[in-house]
Amino acid sequence: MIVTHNMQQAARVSDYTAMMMLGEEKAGVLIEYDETNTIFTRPSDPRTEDYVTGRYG
Amino acid sequence: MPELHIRSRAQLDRELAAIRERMLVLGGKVAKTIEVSLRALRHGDPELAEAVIAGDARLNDLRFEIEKACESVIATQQPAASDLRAVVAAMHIVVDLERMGDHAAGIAKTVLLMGDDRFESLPETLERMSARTQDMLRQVVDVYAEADYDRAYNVALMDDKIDDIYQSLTNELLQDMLEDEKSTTRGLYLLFAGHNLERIGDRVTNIAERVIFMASGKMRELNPEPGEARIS
Repeated sequence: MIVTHNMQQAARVSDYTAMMMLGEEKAGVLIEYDETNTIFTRPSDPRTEDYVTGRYG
Repeated sequence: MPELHIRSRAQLDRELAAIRERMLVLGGKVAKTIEVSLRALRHGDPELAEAVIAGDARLNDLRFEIEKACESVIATQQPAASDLRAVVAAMHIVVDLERMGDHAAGIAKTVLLMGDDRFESLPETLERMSARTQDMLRQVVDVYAEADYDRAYNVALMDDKIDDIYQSLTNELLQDMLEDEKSTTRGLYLLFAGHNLERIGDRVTNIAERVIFMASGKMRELNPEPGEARIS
C-alpha cells in the first residue's frame, strides 16, 4: 500500500485507489474507493473529481 | 494538520478552453462548407464547388492543429477525469468533423462531374434531408459547447428521420431511373449527394455519443445497425 499526494505515482503503481480527506473530527475519512482506472477517469464523488483534476488540494 | 498546496489549474484551463474554442470554429466552418456544397449542387455552380474542394485543406489543417493541442495538453498537464474525457472526446470529434468536410467535398465533386448538366431543382426529399442534416449538425455543435448530455441524446435520435428520408429518396430515384433511363445519370448524382448527407448524419450521431461520454463518462452506441435496439 502506498499513501501519496502524487497523482501520477498513484495512477501508475496501483490497482485500486482510495480517496481520503481530513474530516472535521478525525483524519482519514474515506471518500471513495474503486479501481484506479475508475478513480482517474470517472470518479463518483465530486470531491474526488475536484482532487484528481487539481481543483482542490 | 498539514497545509495542502494548491495546484494551479490556470494553464490547464487555458489549454482546454483553446481546444474547445478551436473545435467550435471547426464545427462552424464545416457547417458552412456543407451549406455551400449544397448550394453549388442546387445551382450547378462549378466555382462554388471548386471553393468547397479547395477549402477542405484548411479544415484538415485545423483538425491537425487541434490534435496537436490535445497531445500537448496530455503530455504537459496530465488531465484526469472530466478534463481527460474532454480531451479524448475532442480527439474523436475532430475526426468526425473533418470527415464531414470530406463528405461536403464529395458533393462538390459531383457538381464538377455533372459538367453542363443542371438540375431544374433538387428533389424535395433531398432538400428535406439536407435541411435536417444541417440542423442536426448545428444542434450537435451547440450541445458540444454546452456539454449537454440530455440534448445530445435527442440530437442522435434525429438521425433516424434522416435515414428514413434517405430511404425514400433512394426509392424515388430508383423508380425514376426504371421509368426513364435518361434520368439514370441525374439519379446517380443525386443518390451520391444523398449518401454523403446520410453519412454526415451518422457522424453527427458519433459526436453526440462523444458529448455524452464527455459529460458523463458513459459510452453509448447511438447509431445501431438495422434490427439492433438503441441503448437508452
